[in-house]
Amino acid sequence: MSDITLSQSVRQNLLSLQNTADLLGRTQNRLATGQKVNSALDNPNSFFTAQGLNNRANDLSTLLDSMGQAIQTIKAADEGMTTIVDLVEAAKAKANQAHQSNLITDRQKYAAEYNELLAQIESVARDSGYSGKNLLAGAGNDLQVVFNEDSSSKLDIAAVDFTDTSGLLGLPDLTTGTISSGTVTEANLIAGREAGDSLTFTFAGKTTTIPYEAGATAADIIAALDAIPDVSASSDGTTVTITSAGGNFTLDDTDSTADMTTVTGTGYVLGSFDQDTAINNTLSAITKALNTLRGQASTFGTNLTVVENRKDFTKSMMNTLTIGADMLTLADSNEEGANMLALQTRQQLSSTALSMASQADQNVLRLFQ
Amino acid sequence: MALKVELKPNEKLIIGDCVITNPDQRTRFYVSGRSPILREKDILTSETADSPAKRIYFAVQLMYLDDDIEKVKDDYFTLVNDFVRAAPSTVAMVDEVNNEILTGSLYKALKKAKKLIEYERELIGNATTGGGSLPTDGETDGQSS
Repeated sequence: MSDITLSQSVRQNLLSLQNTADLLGRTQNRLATGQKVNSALDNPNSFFTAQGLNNRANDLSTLLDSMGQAIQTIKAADEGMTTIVDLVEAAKAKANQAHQSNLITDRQKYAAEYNELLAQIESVARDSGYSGKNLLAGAGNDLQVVFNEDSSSKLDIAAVDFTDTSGLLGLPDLTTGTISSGTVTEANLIAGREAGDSLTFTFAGKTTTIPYEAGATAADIIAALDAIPDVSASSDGTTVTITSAGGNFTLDDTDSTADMTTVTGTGYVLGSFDQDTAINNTLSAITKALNTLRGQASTFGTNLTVVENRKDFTKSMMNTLTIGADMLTLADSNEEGANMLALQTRQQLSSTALSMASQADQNVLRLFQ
Repeated sequence: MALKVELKPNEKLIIGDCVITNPDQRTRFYVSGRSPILREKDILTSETADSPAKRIYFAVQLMYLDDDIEKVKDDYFTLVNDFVRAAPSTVAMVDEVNNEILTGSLYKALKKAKKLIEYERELIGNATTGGGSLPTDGETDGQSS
């Protein structure tokens, strides 16, 4: 009853699993004798076939573990990216707040807060790894997921680098800017007061005039200066410190009979948010960054689906092997034939046949009648 | 490398999601590309897939034609697991089919599924003719031998 075609096909399959001649001998023997096998003693060969299949199930189990690890790695990156998107949206809000503010002092504060958000983004990117691989940390973190034992079927997932926001995200740190400051002693501040005189405070192209009559006090002048938007003035009893945001300042009196030495503020540095055009550039860069993030999230999402599908399939394969291995020591070939006939009858009534038939109705096979 | 196809008169062929029907002359042509190709003799329909192994082949065929494993996967494993329970000696062959699907070689999976059909024919042949088993004893006649 041995059929050459049959033996060859069984041999190929079993050899490819275990590469041993035993499997060949055992299977041919089993088919020839139709013998049941209950333990290694009855027929060592069949018993070890079951073991061989369990071994293969174990090999697949190792692959399954590494697929599981890959899934966790991708998920960690995905979570990191969700947080990063929230942070970029917050940075956008800061830029908009700066845009709506008229005070340079506030704009410089928002710029500093924006930079803090960038630092947080970089920190999240660095923390999005799993088990030593971080898909958001660039070089050296590419992930290769292998789906079979000789690695001929695999998926390569490229890492991106968000650990420096000025790179792929195109969001460099802003220049916060520096306010201008200058000092004058209280004594010198009132040194030029006289009837009909006034103080002129100029910065960023704006001029404010403050009364400088004979009775003007340092406190009056300080209060008047402090009331100017983006200017603050205070005294520690001896020295008055004046600051202005948006430009270096000069404070001088008009008449020259009694003269106050001109007070100048220095040290002003232009901040990124001080001017509207710069804010608009930042907003454009943020829009691009969000597109980059969404594109990458989509790529990772697709990768995740592929690996999850493969993992599910591998699990099902292992289940099939275990079913076969468990039953291999019990069956005999005459029974198998009878079982197959019984299955054929059962399947005619099954939902599986129906479900596949309906799928066939929806693809090209509907044209093939 | 293009695939050479020769069609007899009135023979059909599936390429991608089209059916090509040959009129009444022999035809020969070459096909290049990645769409699935199946000759008439290799196609099963839901009517002609009327045995367990043929249904497995049919499921793999659906995967091959749609280039999609997910839709049929659950049905496929139901069929495969029932098949292996009925005939555990096939588990190695079935694993080979599974492996080809896992690694994305659906055409090879189809070829291997064809072997299941051949093996099933053997098994069912054994069952219906009772070949290979010992003959039953003759009727007892109450006499010592």
